[in-house]
Amino acid sequence: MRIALLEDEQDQADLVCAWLKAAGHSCHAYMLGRDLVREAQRETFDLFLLDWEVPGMSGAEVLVWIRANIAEPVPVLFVTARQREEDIVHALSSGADDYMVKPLGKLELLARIDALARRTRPNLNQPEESIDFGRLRVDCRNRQVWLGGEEVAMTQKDYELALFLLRNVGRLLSRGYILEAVWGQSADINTRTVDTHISRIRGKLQLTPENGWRLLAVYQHGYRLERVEAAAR
Amino acid sequence: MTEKFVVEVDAQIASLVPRFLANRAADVDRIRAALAQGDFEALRKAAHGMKGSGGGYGFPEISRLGAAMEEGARQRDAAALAALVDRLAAYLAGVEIKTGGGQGASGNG
Repeated sequence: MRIALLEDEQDQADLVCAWLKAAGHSCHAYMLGRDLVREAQRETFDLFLLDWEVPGMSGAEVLVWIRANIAEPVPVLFVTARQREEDIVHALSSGADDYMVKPLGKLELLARIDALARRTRPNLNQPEESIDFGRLRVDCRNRQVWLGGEEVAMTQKDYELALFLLRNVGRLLSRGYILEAVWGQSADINTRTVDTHISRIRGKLQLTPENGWRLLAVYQHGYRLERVEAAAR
Repeated sequence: MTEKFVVEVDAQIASLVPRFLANRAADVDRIRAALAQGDFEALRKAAHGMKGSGGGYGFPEISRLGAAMEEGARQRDAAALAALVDRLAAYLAGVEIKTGGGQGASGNG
C-alpha cells in the first residue's frame, strides 16, 4: 500500500517508514499537515497515518480535510501519544478508522494497517486465476489478457498496468501512484512513461465508451478508469 | 563505574539506532538548558517526542523517562526533572546495542 505519514518527529517518521517499507508498503512522510494536504490534492494514497500533535495544521484538522475533500473512503489511522478517552472518541468521531497510542509496536501497527486494508478493499490481495471484466478477461496465472476471445499481445509492464487499472476501476490514480505500483518504488522512470503505457493500453484493450469503458486523464493528477453504463452508450 | 544496559534492537531498524541515540544525547543537553532557563514547554516537547519514539526503537526505558519528564514539565517540578535527566544521561552512557532478528521487537514498554 502507498501510505502517507504525518509525523513531525524525524526519528519516529524514520522508524515507522522503515517498518512499513520492510513490510512491502511505500511510505511518504510529511512533517507538516499543510504539506500532506497539498500533496494529497494531486497524489493518491491507500491509507493515512496521522500524528495528532504537529506544528501548524494538526492531525485532527488534516483528518477533517481528508474527509471533506477526498471522495473515496481512504482509511485513516491515528497515531499519537494522547491516550485520554475523550481524545480517542474525538478522533474516531471525526472520521478516523482506528487509533493507536505511542509508543508503537511494529507488529500491532502492521496488523492494524492490514486489517484496515482488508476492510476497505477486501478483494485486493486475493489470489485469482482469472478475472472477467465484460469482454475483457485477465488470465492471472498465464499473465494474458483476452478481448472478446482474442488474446491481446502485451509486454510485461502493459499487462501489469492493465491489471492494476482494472483492479482499481473508479479510483482516481495519480501518476506517481501508478508508477510505484507497477514499476516499483526505486524505479528511475519519468511519469511520462506512465502516459505512454496508458495510451498503448487504451488502444490495445479498446477502453472506449463504445466498449463500456472510459479511461480518463485527470488534469494535474493522473487517470481514472470508469465503467460506462449501457444506457449512456 | 558506568552501569551497562544491553538492548537488543530489531535488525530492520539497526541502521537508524545510532542517530536515534545521538539525538537523545542532544536532548539531554537541550533539556538541561531548558531547565536552567525554566522553559518547561520546550522541555515538555522534547520529553513528549522521546516518550513516543523510545519504545518503538527498542528502548522502553527512554519512553518511560520521557513520560516521566513530560509529567514533570507539566508540574513544573524542576528537582524531579533534574534527577530524571541525569538518569537519562546515565542510561545513554551505559547502553550497549545488540542486533536482533528483525521480527520481534514490538517496542512497547
